[in-house]
This record gives sequence, C-alpha cells and structure tokens, in this order.
Amino acid sequence: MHDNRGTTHLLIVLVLAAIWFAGSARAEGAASQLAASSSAGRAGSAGAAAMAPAVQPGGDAAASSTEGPAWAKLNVLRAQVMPVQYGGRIMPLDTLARELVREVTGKRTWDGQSPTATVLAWAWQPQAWRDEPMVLVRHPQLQEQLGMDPDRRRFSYAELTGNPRLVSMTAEAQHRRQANQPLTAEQRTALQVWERVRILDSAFQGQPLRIVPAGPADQTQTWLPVAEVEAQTGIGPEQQDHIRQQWQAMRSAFLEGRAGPFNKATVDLTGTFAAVGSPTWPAEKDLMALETIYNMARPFRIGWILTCAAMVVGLVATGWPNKWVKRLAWVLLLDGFAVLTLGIVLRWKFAGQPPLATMYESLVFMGWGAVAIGIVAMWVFKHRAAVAVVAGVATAILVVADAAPLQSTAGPLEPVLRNTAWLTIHVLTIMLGYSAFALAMGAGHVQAVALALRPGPREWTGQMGRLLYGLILAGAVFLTAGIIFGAIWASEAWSRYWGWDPKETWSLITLLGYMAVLHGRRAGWFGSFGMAVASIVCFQLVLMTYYGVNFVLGRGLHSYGFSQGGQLWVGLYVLLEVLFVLGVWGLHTQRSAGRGLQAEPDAVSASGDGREAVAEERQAPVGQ
Amino acid sequence: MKTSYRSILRTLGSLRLAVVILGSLAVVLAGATIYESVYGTQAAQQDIYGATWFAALLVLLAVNVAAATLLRWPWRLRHVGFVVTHAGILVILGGCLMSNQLGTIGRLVLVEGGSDNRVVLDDWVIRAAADEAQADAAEMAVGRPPRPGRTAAIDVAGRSHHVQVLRYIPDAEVRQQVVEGGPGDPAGVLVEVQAAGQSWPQWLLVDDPGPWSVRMPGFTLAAASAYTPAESTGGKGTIVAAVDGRRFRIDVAEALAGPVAVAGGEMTVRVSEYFEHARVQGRQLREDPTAPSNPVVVLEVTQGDVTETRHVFAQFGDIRAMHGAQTKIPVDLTLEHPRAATEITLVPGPDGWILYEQDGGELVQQSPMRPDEPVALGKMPMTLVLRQVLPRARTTSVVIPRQSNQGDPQPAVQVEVTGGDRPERTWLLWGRPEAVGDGGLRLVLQAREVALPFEVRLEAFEIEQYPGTARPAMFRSTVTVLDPQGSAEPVHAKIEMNRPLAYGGWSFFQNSYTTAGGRQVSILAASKDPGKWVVFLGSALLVLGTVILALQRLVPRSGRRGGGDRAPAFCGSQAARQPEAIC
Repeated sequence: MHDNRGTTHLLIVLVLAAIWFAGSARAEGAASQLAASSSAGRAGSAGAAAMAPAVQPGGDAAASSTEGPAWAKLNVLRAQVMPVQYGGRIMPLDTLARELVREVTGKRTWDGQSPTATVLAWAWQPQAWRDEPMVLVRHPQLQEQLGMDPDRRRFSYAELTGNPRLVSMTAEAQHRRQANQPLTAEQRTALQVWERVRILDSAFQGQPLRIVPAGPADQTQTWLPVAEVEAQTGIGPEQQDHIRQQWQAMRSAFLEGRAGPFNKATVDLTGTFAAVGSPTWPAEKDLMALETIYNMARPFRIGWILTCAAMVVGLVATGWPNKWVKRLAWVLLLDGFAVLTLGIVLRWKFAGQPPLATMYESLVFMGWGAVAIGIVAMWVFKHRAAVAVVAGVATAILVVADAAPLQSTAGPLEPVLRNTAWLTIHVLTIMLGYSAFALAMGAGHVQAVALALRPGPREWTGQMGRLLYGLILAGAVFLTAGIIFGAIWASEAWSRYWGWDPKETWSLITLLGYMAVLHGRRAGWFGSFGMAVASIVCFQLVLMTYYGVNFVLGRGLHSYGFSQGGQLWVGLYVLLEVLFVLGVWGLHTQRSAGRGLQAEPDAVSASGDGREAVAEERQAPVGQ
Repeated sequence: MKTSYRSILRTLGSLRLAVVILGSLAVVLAGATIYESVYGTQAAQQDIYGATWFAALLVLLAVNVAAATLLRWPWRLRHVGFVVTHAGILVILGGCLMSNQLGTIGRLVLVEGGSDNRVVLDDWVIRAAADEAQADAAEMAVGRPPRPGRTAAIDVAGRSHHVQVLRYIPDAEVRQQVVEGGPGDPAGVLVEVQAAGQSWPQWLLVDDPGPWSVRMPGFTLAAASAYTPAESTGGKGTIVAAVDGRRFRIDVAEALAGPVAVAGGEMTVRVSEYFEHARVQGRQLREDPTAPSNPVVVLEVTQGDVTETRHVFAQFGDIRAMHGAQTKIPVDLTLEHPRAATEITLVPGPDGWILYEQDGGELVQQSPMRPDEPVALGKMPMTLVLRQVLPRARTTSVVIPRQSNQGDPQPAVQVEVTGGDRPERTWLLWGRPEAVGDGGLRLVLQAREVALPFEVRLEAFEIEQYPGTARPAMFRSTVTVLDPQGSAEPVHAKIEMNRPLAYGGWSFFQNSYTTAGGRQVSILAASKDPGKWVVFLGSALLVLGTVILALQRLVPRSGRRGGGDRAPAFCGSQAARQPEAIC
C-alpha cells in the first residue's frame, strides 16, 4: 500500500516536470495545487477533509468578477477529482465532464471553461443553457432540410428540441435502424444530433453525475446521482439529508462563484461519500488526481509536439551536419520518448489495465514503439537523416491518434480481454512490429526519393539501406512473435490456435508479404531502390491488418475493435502512396537510364543469372 | 545421378520458388478474406481453407522449406538461425496436419442443472437409421454449407443405399401447394381477391375446412359441392354475458323491451339500440340496409349506482372493451346473431363455377364466374376473379427459401436416394427425420456429434456485470465433470473467459450463452487437439530462429573472408555485393 502510494506520487511529480517542460502554465498552476492537495491527503486520514486547509488561499476573490456568470472564474479542482461512476468504471468527474462536453459540443472545452465547471453548470442552472448554441450539428444539407441556418455549426437545446422536423426525422431514422434498413447521411447525422441532445438533456437533470456510492452490502454497486440519493439504501436517512445539504451548499457556492465555501462543501461531500464504505470507492485516492492531471496535461500531445520539434531540428541536422543541432534533435526525441512513456505508465496506473485494448491506445503505443525502436536503430545504424525519419513517423502516428475521432477515455475491458497477460504480450509485440514497419515505411520514402533523384550506389543511401533492412527484419521478428503469441492466446480463449479469422489471416498475409520481399531480396529481385519501394507497399498490408479488417471488412472474432469511419482519410493515404511509388519509380527508371545504369544497379546478387544465394553460400567455405 | 538429384533439390528449394509460393499464398489468403466477407465464414472455411488445393499449396511450401534446409547440409554455426527458423516452420506445418487429422473441436451445449456428453461439431451430416430408435445408424458427410453433387453409399440394416445431395437451401420453409390431382380428389379453383387496393391469390378446394378456404369472423370464402341456403331464422339474436366465469343468456328482443336482470339480480342489461346492418358514419352507428350484415346492440349495463353504455358487435365483439378501454362493470359481453355473416360460396357446375353471395341470411347474388372476368360482390367492397380451375386438385408440400427472416435459419437439403425399388427424391429439413423408400430408411440432416467418455453438468451460469452498467464483465460456468471410468469423485470447476478447464484430454472454454425455456444455457467450446503441442514447439523454434537469424544478419561478423578493411557485410549495402554475403 505504502509502496503503491509512493509510485503514484512519483508519477505526479514526473508529470509536473513534463508539464513544466511543455510550458503549459495554466495546467501547471492547477496541477501543482493538486499535487499539494494529494500530499495533504496522504498526510491525513482516509477522509478528504484534510484537503480543506490547502484550498483556502483561493478565497472569495473570484466571485467579484464582472464578466460572465459568477462561477466562470471559479477553480473547480476539488470537484474535478470527485469519484464518479460512468461506463462501469470509477473515474474522476473531470474525465466524465470532458467526455460529455466533447460529445455534445465536439470541442474539448466550452467557452474556455473547465469541462467540470460546464457540466456542473448544466446540472445546476439548466435554464441558462437552453438557448446556448452548443450542440454540434455541422451538416449543411441536414440543416437546410430541417429549415435551420445552414451556415451555423451549433444550435441550442431549445432550437433542436423545438424543431418538429428533426423530431420526426429522428423517429423515422430510429425506425429504419431497428428494421435494419439503410440510412441516408442526413438521417445518420440526425440520429447523432439527437443523441447529443439526449446527453445534454440528461446532463441538465444531473443524471450522469452518479457520485453517490452504493453501500457495502449492495451487490450491483450502482452509484446514483444526488437527486436519487434516497434509492441508495446502503446510506442512512441522516446521511442522505447531509448529502443533499452539502450538494446544495456546493450548488449555491458555485452559482455565486465563491471558491472557499465551494471547496469546503466539495471536500465535505467527498468525505461523506468515502465514509459510506463502498467496495468500489477508489482504494487509492491519488488515482483520481492522477487521472485528472493526465487529462489536463494530455501527455501524448506533449509527446508529439516534442517529436515534431525533433523532426524539424532533425531535418536541419540532415542538411547541416552540426554537432549541436544533431544533439538537440536527439534530446528532443528522447524527451518526447520520456513523456510518452510517462503517459502510458500513467494511463496503465489509473485505468488499472494495460492501455492496449482500444484503437486509440494501440495507436499511441505504436507511436511510442516507433520512437523506442527508432532510438535503438539509430544507435546501431548511424545515419544523418535517421532522427528526422524516426521523429517524423512517430509524430504522424501520434497526431493521427490525437486527431482521429477515437474513443480516448479508458473504458472497461471486454470479458475475453480480461484475466490474461496475453493481451499485453500479444498486442505489445504486434504493435512493436507495426512500429518497426512504419519506421521502415518512413525510411523507405526518404530512400526512394534519394535513389530516384540520384541512382547508383552512395554511402548515404547504402547506410539508409542497412537501416531499412534492419527495421524490416526487426518488424518481421516482432510480427512473427506477435502472431505466435496471439495463437497461444487463441488456444486459451477460443479453443483453437488458428482458425483463419480475418485478423489472423491478414496478419499472416502481412508477414508473408515482408517474407516475400526479404527472400526476393536474396534472390536478387530487389535492390536498394526495390527495398525502399517494397517497404512502402508492404506497409499497406499492415494498414489492412490493423485498420482494414476492423473498419472495412468488419468480420471475425476480433470484433471488440470493430468500428467505422476514416475510410476517406485512409483511402487518401493509400492513393497518395500509390502516386508516390509510381512517381519515384518513373523518375528512378528515367535517371538510371540517363546515367547508363541498370534499373536495379545495386542488387545484392551481382551475378543475376539465376544462381542464387544458396549456391553462392555453398562456395563460401571453400574460399575461407 | 547425384547431380540431377541435387538439381531437383535445388529447384525445389530455390529462393525464387519461395518468393512465388509466399506471394501466391498471400494473394490467395487476401482473396479468401474477401470471399469470406461475401459468402460467409463457413463457405470460406470449406471452399478455400479446407480445400485440397489449399492444402497442396501448404505442402509445396513445406517441400520448399525442407529442400532449402537440406541444401545447406552439412550445417555450420552460421546456419543456426536459418535452420532453426525453417525447422520451426516445418514443425508448425506438421503440427497443423496432426491437429487437422487427430483433433476435434465442437460445442458442448449445457442447460443449467442439466448434464450432457455430446459435442456438436461444425460440419454437417445426413444420419441414416433403420428405425426410430436410431439403432444401426450410419452417417454421410455433406459439408457445410452442403455441396450439391456430393454422393455416398449408406449401409443400413443390411441394405445399401446411394444418397446424393441435389440442392441446398440455407434457410427453408415448407409451403403447401395445390397441384393437379387424381381420381377421388376434389375440384379446386384459384381466385384472385381484390380489396382495399390490393389483391392476392387464393386457392379454394371443394368442401375443404382447412387452409383452402377463408373463414373469418363475419366472413367466409369457400368452395362447396352445392349451395346450401341459410335457414331463414327470425329473431334478433342472443346476448351472452359472462360474469366471474358464469354465463347468462339474454334474448335481445326481450332486453329491447326493458331491463333484464342478470347474475341473480347483481346487474341489469337493457338494449337501447339494435342494428342489423350497422355502419359507422362519423362517430355514429347508422342502420344501412345496403351495407353488409353487421348486427350490433347498444347496451346499458347497470350495477348498483353505476350505469355504463357498451357497444357489442356480433362480428367483432365488445368493441371498446377489446381495445383496452376501461370498463367499470366487470362483465364480458358477446352477441350471437343468426344473420351475422357474409358467406361467399363457389360451386362447380356443368357449365362452370357459380358464385353465391349470402348476407344476413339472404342470397344477395348468384353469378356465373368466367375466367379472368371480375365479379364484384354486392355487399362487400371486394372483387373476385377466376384465374384457374382444376377438376381434380390435391395439395402437396414444397420446400422453398423462406420469405420472411424470422427466427433461426432452417437449412434444408434435397437428396436422391437410390437403392429401393426406384430412385426417390426428398427434402430433409434441419433436425427433422424423414422416412424414405418403403419406410426402411430414416434420414436426418444434423451436425456431426461426438460423445465424450464422461458427462459435464452445468451447475450455474452467471454473467458478471461492470458495476452500475449492463455491460458484461465476465461469463462464468460452474460445472461438474462426472466420469464413470475415471476418478470416483466428481470434478468441480469454474470455466470463464481465458480460464478453460482441461479434463481427460479435452479442454472446455466459455464460448457463448443463450436462454431456453426460461433457463440459462451455457455454450462451451470443447476441443481435443494433440497437434497443439507440436505447433507450440514449432512456434518456439520459429521465434528463437528468427531472433538468431536477425542478429546474424545484422551483427557484423569479423574474420570472414573480405571482412578486413571494409564495412561489415550488411545486407542492402554496397559492401554486400560480394557473393558470399549471407543476407
């Protein structure tokens, strides 16, 4: 227990360091307060009351603000770390609030307010929000059909619920969906909009704020909002009254913008809840603070900002081989790696499960793996452009993870993913393989352009070729191991080690593709340029296995990863790659002919007469 | 001689063949996943992954790998990675072959509180038996999905039968059809009924009480050998009042005159209005003699201080009570009326069919029906058209693809059985035994089953949920293994995801669940696979080998010929152009 707390606190300090590094002043101020409060909490007993002294300095000063509502300047950190039950997990209110605000508005924050403050204001002052245009629609055709201004992106709750055409359209869309009939794009959007309205409506009633824990004897452990506190039979009537009063005190202090009473009431209420003795109450109080800090710091964004900086400096280093520029690129990349590692550890810690279960988590891990493998590869194969390539690939992966509309909140695991270490082993190995292949793909682009512009052997491209080959070999080893670990897991979970499930099959296709290239290279069919192109082409197989099976084929047993969307972007990427390959190929052929070189001048097997490496190798010992 | 043997080996183990095999395997597999998403998992399993040519491709891969490994004989230290990797592949392929030949995988379906030992496999068979007790049964594999054209000889009770699969319907239903009959069969007529802007065909067989006539409350459409006029009964009908299960009959004429006491004076009933051809206009009932017969009584029911008005239709009952309106007085009312119905009767005659329309006990019209000439009914807003006439008609059942998709799919195969007096064709619906020939053979389409040498009893099945949600967190079956041969003590175990139970060479996995008859049903996957361990051994070799191989390829080897002043012989580099480069 003590050790555990120690690591949690260490994590908090590390994150603070990272935040300081990124220079996010606002988050820093908030987070240092949290760290202070978490220390205070550690010193005190189980109750959160000990946090109270640390919060007084905020005072009532904020209340005197003239701009906006009274609560606008209120610091709601105490409320942010309140445990709440959502989607089967106990999380800080902050996480839930971010989810709700993002779901309704499509933005991370509304009006620059902390999402927690926004969600509390929704619940406590719903009438003030009914006419606020904050529900995301952004579908001009739909808006035109509904008789709404097509130029606006967001509409108010009152506008949407008062639109009879939207109501009837949604009803029809729901009917069609139940009958398994296809929906038009407008109908799909209408359903989405209606879902946002529904979420907002329940938020207006405080429904998602399930902060009242269940009593120790409650089998279902369903937490409830304060409005339903009397249904929480594990809590005595006196305590229930107490909870209602404290909630009311929080509300009035919040609406009046008085920080002191608000914090006091919040801490009191949290203490009351902790005293209920629910077995689902977070065993480690710091975990809530940890997750809140994670939410505020967004370590993976800091990570890609750092790798992006490393890429830019690395590009400079590629053209201008200055020792200090090179070192700066390295430092930035290593810092990015440290922040990413910290983020993954943090997420693992507060979610209590390996962050490898969703598309978002695996993408982040792939970005981390790209930096990790890249650092090792750069150390083994020194190359001037390596930092830029590694940082560029990692940045691209992490930006996709950050920007794509993927579920980024940690949720509960599917039953089949639980109770097993294979989830970590299998996904980790596979993702490291993908990382290596992604790096090879990135290096392949650089190499292809370099060779297309100036065919023929060179130190620069020779070194890059070795890097490329090493990355493909590493990827192949990881992918082979990952597939085999998956097979062992499948024999434990699905009763057979191999069943030609589409995901299994495509991972094998990917491996076979890279194997064909590696063997073809030895047969003399691929030279340096061929390997560069092959690393790009074969990466499309990785994409199909990783994305295509889940999002395009949508069949098979790996169904917990299935989803929709992104086809346009992925299709665009594939198209660009096709154009790129055709372009460099044409250029390479033309330039090679111009220089009087063979199309594949630097193939491995110089003889090229059908004799293969095996035969050649047979002769080798003779010469020794 | 030795040279030619070596050259064959060199061809078989050549890198180019390897690249061709790897490439074609990748293309075939990519095609297979697309095939699967179009035709379904079972079709892909059978037509591609289970096909002989696919196995041949894998054998070719094994031959190539084996030849390439043998070519390097005698093996040296630098061959370690290569040999271990490729030996791993061979061992894996060998293990797969073992799994394929010796392994069994299926499902064990357990009802809570019940026990079973039958493992249901994925493939389908036609099971043949001589009698209902299924003694002396023989099986014929039909594939899944069944492949038309597949034949097998089945020997049952000393007689040999030849069974051939003719057709397969993934989801079938049985429909009754009218066809031309023989002597003794009744005449039949096909009419097209047109009403309310729609039309539908209806076969009518003479004097048929069953599906070949239309009998609804207040309306019948049927064929008969002769027209029987309704008995001309007078009277206004009888009200039947049911109170607490007791039934009281009230004459309408009497109740029209004044209140009639019912149920020992508990309540009184008075008829305030009476209609024979009621028609709803606006929200009012009107008597309309041109309308079809539709007797209605409007009643005033009094119980104590409460008086209630009820509308009771002879054809449709107590209309408001039936549509869920609250009634204050607990009495069920029905009206029995002698002239309630409209009856349409089609009668075959020497000069063709005649239509009789009878309504409210009176003959409304009597019209001859000529092919394709519509006959409008006098009282009903309906038109009948004669479409087809059969002097002798009988019904037969046909199996066709199901029109509606409700419930579980019901597969069916049509087979031809030779071996009796003459070849016989019959449809086999999933799980329904069908007698063939002169009753000496019973065939049933079912999944192949394997009996475990022990029984498994499901004590409980539970779904654990994430707190506060309906989202399942874990599925768990608590089972007891009852082994008559093994240990005397029954074995208790909990099976959940990622926690299988191993017993007697078999492994049991939590697969899925359902409910049947209000009881929980847990579906376990059951497998017995001796090849598994061989595959795992091969896998270990493969992983080890690839790691060694990758290190050998990447780490510079000093002291090799040409090493000297040159950069290490990395692959892909200029330096690697020497023939001895090992990459």
